[in-house]
Amino acid sequence: MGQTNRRIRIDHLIVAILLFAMASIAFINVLSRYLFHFSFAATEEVTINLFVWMTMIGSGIAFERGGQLGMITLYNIFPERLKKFVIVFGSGLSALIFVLVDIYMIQAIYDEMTLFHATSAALGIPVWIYYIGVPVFSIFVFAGIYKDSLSKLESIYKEGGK
Amino acid sequence: MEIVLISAVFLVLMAVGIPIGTCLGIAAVVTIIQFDLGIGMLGVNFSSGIASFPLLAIPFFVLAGVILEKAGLAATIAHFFELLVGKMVGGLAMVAVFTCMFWGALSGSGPATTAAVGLILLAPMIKHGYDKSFAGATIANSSDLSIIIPPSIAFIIYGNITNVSVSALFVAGIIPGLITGAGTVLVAYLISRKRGYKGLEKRGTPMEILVALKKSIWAILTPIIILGGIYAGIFTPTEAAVVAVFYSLFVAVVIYHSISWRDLIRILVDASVTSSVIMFLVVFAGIFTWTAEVIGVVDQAANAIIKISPNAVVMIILVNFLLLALGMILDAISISYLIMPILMPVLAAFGIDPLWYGVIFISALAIGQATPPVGVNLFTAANLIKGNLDSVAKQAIPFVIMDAIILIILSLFPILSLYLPIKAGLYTP
Repeated sequence: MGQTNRRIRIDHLIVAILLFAMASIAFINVLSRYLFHFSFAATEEVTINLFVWMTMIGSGIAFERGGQLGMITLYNIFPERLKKFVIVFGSGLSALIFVLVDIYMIQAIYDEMTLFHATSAALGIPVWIYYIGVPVFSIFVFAGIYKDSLSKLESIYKEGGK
Repeated sequence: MEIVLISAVFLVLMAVGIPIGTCLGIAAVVTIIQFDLGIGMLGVNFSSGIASFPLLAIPFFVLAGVILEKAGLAATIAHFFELLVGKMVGGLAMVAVFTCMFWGALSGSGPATTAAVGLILLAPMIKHGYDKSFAGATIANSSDLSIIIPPSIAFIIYGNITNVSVSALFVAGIIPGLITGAGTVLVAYLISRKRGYKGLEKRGTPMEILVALKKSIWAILTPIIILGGIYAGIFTPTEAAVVAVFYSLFVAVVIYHSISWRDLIRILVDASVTSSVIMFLVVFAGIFTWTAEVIGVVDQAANAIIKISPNAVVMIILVNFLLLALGMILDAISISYLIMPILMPVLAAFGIDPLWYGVIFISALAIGQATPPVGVNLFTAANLIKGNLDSVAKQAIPFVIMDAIILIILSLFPILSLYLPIKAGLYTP
């Protein structure tokens, strides 16, 4: 890392705001219930859907940091070429699974907007508004997967150059 | 055929080092498409797999833990224990175990505890002549306690899969956590005595201890608020977690003045990333498990297990061996999703209490966190001492044996796990 970036990255900022908002809404809920005996329980649905959005962006950063859990015992003893293949293949699969999630989510959003017009149980918000965060924020997941594979490939080239 | 397909895809991908969440997701999608189980629901199922109020406890407990860590509370707690037990034989090893136990009551994750306590105590331990690998092994093993002592992410996941109350699970973990902690203290003490690891030069004076207590009182109150609230039935675990977030924020900003706004953003990002890593597994493991259930793999596996032995104790022991073996290659969350759906009908068939079994299950998985090659705590500890994983693992063996003995005790005496939750009125067997 070395020098820290003075400007805060957009994905970092959004994910921080989402988590803080989730915690704040949930906390206000607890306070109001116990102190004022007044319940905003309906806001629970906002919190849990922000949680979905947060997980999308957080997963992207986790990919970028190489932080997703995996079993690397065998991988470590692979020859260089096989390592490169696994990196590209694995990143492709990780991207593929999110592409599929996106495709079927967009399909569901389209159906909601044109056919079903379902609204959420507690607040009556059209459900597609909650859904739309998944494909939108998946941009950060793809970026994270891409950056992760680049940095892993780079480190292999460096090792090979020694 | 179905079993072969779904497990082959998963195992091959996992073995070559592809992220476990991706492996679970791809294996599930391949099976869904192959058997035409309705791939059109993938997007909505992804979203609803995350959007659950009980699971919200995960990011909140992670966040509270990161805030307290960045606020420097691990050092304050370690100093308090240093004054209290530092002069004993193996003083710093004792301090490490006690600090890990206490940190386990603030944090629900093993590697997080290893990192928080390791950063504070590894250097002084090595400086005082402790074997570097032994120091790492002590902290890695004591950090296992984090997932037994509440709050615990592993219990939240277990509750999510089995529908056992997370409050009851948290309270059930208290006594087994303390017993496992006592066992760890004993091993650290015996090894230190044998190797002649001396205690610190001086004991804290009552005045010093009082001052340290006063300084760490805010940290000490955290688990009391979390557990007290849950025990008394005031908070759900998710509510307790969010109270813990704002309490730690208050302590860090108002009392210790140790974090700035810029720190806060970094803390929020780190906590989001840590919980997203967990949720990435949770969501695809959930879809994987659902697929396995629909195509009948879960039933077949459960029936196979029931046929192996008509005896409940034999079954529990065999499954414990399986869990220890799986714990060597997989993380606790994936194992929970892969195994628990199969075990639920087995437990019912044998009349085994699912709450009691939760404690046994998580204790077995806790041991796996300190066994190679995927012992997450060992890995973290080896990184911190810039040492070799194998030599840390070797030093961990006596601790693992002690943990296994305690696991047998917990398996033989359900009352150790069930007494508190029943007394608190959180559970009726």
